[in-house]
Amino acid sequence: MSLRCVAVRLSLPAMDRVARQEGRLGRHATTCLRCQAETARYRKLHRSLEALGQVTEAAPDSLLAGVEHAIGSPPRAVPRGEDRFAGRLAGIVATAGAVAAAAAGTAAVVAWRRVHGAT
Amino acid sequence: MASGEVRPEDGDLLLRARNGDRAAFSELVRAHQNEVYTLALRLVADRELAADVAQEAFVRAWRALPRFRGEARFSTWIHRITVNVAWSQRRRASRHRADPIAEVFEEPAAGGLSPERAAESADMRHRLLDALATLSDPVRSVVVLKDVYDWPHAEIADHLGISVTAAKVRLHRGRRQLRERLWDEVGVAR
Repeated sequence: MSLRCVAVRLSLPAMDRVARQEGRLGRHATTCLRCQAETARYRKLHRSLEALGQVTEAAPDSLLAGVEHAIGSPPRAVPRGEDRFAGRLAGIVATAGAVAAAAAGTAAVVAWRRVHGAT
Repeated sequence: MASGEVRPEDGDLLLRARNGDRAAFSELVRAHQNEVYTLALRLVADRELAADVAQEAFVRAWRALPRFRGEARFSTWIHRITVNVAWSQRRRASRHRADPIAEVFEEPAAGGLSPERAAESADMRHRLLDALATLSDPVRSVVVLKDVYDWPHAEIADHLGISVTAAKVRLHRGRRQLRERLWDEVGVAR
């Protein structure tokens, strides 16, 4: 194997599309059967890898069921800011409710005392 | 379906899924599960692990849907997530050994090929899948993404967290190793 054969061998794995080589190496490859065969192997490798991209494997039946089980709860579609606003609003409503209940309770106690105090 | 094809119906399903419609998301999973599983299988070379990767990728996609702005197609987006999941899971399961996958490889339609050529082509695919499975995970990931899925070097480097130069070095090494495993030194097919 000549030095040029070695140079061709070293250059082939770096080529995305195995094209005809230029310059000295190209001229060498036109006359060297060993280098032509090596180039043909890399071409075949590229074609086979590319063809693999056209083949789709069937996913196992359990895949969809597994995803559906894992996403049991819906995603959080509401932005965080809106979440915080909704939380604050709920807090205000709850506080107002508690204040109103306390006021009603106090009024009831006062009324009861008036009634019992009067008797 | 190839990843480059446009599925116009994805738009409506995506919109509904983003609003929490699980049935719509299930339809998306049904439509894309084979592509996603295939990509995962090519990356990890292990059927059981590939199924886990595909499932995790869809679950992550569901959780991230509110942030998906539709700048890329859903198929492109889910493929990127799959690569990230495969990469992280493979690293975590580094002790898990790859199984030969050729025996369950599904043959594509061999329309137009003579029986001899179809058999030769199928044999080459089997040997190629076996050879791919013997590559190290970092090398195989680069070879699959570049030579099978035609990703640009920069995107591969970005997803794998390596430099473009490192991606090219791994690609070079992977192609050379595949060539050595597919043909012996005197060039005779094994």
